[in-house]
Amino acid sequence: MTSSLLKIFLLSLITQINVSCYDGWDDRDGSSAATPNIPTDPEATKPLYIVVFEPINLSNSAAADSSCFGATGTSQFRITEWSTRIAAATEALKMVADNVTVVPRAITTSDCTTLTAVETAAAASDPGSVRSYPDDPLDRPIVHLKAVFWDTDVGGTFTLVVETPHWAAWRTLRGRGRPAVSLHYFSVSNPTTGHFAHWKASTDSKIVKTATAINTVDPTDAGTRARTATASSDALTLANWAVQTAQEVRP
Amino acid sequence: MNWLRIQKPPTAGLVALIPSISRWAAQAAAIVAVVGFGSAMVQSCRKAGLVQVPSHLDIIGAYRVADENVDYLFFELTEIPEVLENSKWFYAFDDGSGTFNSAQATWKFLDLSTGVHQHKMVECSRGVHCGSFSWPSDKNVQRVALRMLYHPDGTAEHVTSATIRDFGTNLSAMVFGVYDSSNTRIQIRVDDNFGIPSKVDIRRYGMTRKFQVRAPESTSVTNTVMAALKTSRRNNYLFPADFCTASLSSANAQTFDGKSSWLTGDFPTTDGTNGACANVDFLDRNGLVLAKHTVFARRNPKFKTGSYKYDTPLTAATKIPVILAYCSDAIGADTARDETFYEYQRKMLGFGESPEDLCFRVGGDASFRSSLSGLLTSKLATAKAASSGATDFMFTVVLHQNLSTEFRNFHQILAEELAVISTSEAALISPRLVGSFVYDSQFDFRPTSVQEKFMIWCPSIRPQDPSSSLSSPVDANCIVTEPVKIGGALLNFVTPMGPFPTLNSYRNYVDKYTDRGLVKKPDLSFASVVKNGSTFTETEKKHQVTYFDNEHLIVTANERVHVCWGAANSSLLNSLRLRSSTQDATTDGINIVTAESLWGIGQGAADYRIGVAWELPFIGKVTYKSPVTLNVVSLIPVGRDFAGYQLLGDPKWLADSIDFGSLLQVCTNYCDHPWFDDAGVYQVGGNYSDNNFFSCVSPQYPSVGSEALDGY
Repeated sequence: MTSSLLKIFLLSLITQINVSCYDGWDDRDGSSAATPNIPTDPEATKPLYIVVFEPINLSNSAAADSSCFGATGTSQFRITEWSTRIAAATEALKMVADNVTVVPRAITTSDCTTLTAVETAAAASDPGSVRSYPDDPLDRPIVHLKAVFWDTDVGGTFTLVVETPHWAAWRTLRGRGRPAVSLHYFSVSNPTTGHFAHWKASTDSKIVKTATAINTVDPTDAGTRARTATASSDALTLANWAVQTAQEVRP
Repeated sequence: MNWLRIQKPPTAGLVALIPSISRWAAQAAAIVAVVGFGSAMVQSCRKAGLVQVPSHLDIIGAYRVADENVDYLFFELTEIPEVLENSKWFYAFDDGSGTFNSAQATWKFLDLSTGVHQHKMVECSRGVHCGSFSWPSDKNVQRVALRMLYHPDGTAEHVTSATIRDFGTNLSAMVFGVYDSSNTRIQIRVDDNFGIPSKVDIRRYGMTRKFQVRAPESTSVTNTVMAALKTSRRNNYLFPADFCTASLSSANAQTFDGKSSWLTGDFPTTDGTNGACANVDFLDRNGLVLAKHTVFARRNPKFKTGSYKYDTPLTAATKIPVILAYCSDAIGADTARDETFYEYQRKMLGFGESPEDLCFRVGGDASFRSSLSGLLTSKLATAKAASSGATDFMFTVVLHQNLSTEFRNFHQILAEELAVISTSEAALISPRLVGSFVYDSQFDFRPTSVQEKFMIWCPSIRPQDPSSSLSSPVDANCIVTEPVKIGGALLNFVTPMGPFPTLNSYRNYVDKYTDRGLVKKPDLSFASVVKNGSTFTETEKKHQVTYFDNEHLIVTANERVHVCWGAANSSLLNSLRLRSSTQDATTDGINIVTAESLWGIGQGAADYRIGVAWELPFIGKVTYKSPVTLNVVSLIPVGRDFAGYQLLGDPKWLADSIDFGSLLQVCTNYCDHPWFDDAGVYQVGGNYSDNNFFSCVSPQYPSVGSEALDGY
């Protein structure tokens, strides 16, 4: 239901953008950058060939309040928020890419202070099995979207493996001449110093996007409605940004 | 009806009258009448040369009654009275060989005072004159003619004739006896049997007959004999009552004119008889006997007058307050609590501004469950320790929160814990916990069907009732009476909200009316179905049944019990259960409909225990004073579906006892006799028990000394 509504919402917004049908990547600058060529026709060729979407978030609220966040109820609220955001982003990305693969990077309660799962992900050999895709005759960008969903921040810093713009598999891909682009997305509610702040600071700002933060927990019906609206809006923004940025930074 | 038929105008009519009127100028009244009646017609007459006169003469009936050797004639004349002042009436007979001719017939002057019976002309309706006449029969006469001359000197006339219908062995009147309310006084009644005019109309034709009743005496006649007579005589009056002994005795003789007469003296029931015989003589106007017959009076069905008052199994229950709210220090508390509404909730349940017993927070499900279980156990134990009687207990819970549905685990936890502790208490005898009432902040949680056996969650969506005018489920807040009705037309908080509104309804009200909806002296009380050592319970598909302690309904073999479904409060009967003393312990009691069927066929004689079926073992009542000081009372029903509202959801169950006397009618004697119905009509052809299988009557008996009404 939510997915269908989101599609309708996205379509309604997208159709308001003054675009022409995609005929290859529009390399012009200026106004074209602000209005990327997102096809209005679902059957038309999409601007991105592949998106591998790696959401990084807490997956289980059991005991998370005390060990990961501190305030009781935070994990229950955030996990619902993040699942909403991830679902909305996935739907939005499918509007701009032929192939969207979601590779969850679940952080467990025992891992929420060290985030070793992220270190592991950075070294993964072929997330989303991108290597199995044939070359794109249109030579469209292949996007690797790392997305962090968290409340506040986690103390410490990542190793260089994580903070390297292109994780292991993507370096390999780029080495083979594929137009692989790594992008970063941060949806952190109450950002402080720590792993994510350091990671974000060490990354080229061109390939970093920040979500609209929901800092205050509102567990009422009104809060739920506001949260859903924010997730939908951010998802559309993210998809547009991914199309635009992939073109700008493609190798 | 034949008197309405258009008859060929007489040879004269008004045209013939006009010259006569000119001669009778002194008869101004007649002129005025004629002018008034037909001035317009006279004008038109001058142009057309023809006058259509609406007057006509009809013979309604002419009968020969061999039993009395008397012929009867009934007739009607339609004419304005003013032109009849000098009219003369004649009649004539023939042998049936031809039609009458006014010139040829041998007319005899019709002197009403010479009839066999008393006769007179009656203006039976405006412009219609009804009359009758009777004469000794002459078997050679087959037809009778009637002639009316407007004036002895004139020629204007009406002439009509009819064949005399021979009654054969039929009688001109049905005579029967009825009893008064005490079943000791007898009234002899006469129903004329001409057919046309009917027994109701015949008084309009001015005939009065004389009867004599002699030698009445109480007697008993079996149903078999009465049934046989009905068949042989082909009437329900049991007339003539051939099974009565004809007598020449003149003992206790009394003569009467007209339709009825009360016999002097009592005919007590102590002798065990079911009726009384008497001799009845049909007399002429001079008292000479025309015919002799016997008549029978049947006693009225006798009803038990005792009380059917039973103590209800409901007694006041003790409330155990439980206040639960979203923690004020929890995340999102500033939006997930509404202090104004929280105050309202507590006040409506009578808790004042007491702090919460337990708070809950998002993410705190496990600790909430644990704490809640302990809280409920502790509160119940404390209440029991403080109780000295056998009153039951009700958890009365305020649940304050404003959470989105995704955080509503607390509702399920609360429902589960209340059900757990209620289940463990259900098997106990009183004092025990009988259930819970939860006043939540929103309407969209509903306990499971199993949990609903122990609690009312309010407000909540309930199944749509097509007959309800509730505008939306949000407005449904657990009471029997719709808010708009309990608040009347006055503008106060009750009208839009009811006593248990949702948070949103409350906020809307505050925004609209700018007050906080606080009322004076709110009181929420409960009564429960007390269970003691002698209480017998059984489980139906949907209900529990508790039999009243030592309350019985005893139906003997001769008694016929009728259920008064049309009576006020008859819906209470839906909750009744009856359990025969001889019934197998493994079978359930029967409901009133089943019992009624057994009673109706005479197979329901038993000693019944009285029970009540319920969905929830308690009932609630909320009273308070509105801002305009009107007292408001409504009930919290024990059933969640609409049908359930018809069960214990009636304030009368809150009384200490209920008298079912107005809902059950027990006939003890003469149950298959005719009866006086609610309108006082004697149902002479009926059998009380068979004809009132699913209803009761409120017999309207004739008063001693009063005359029987026409047709009654």
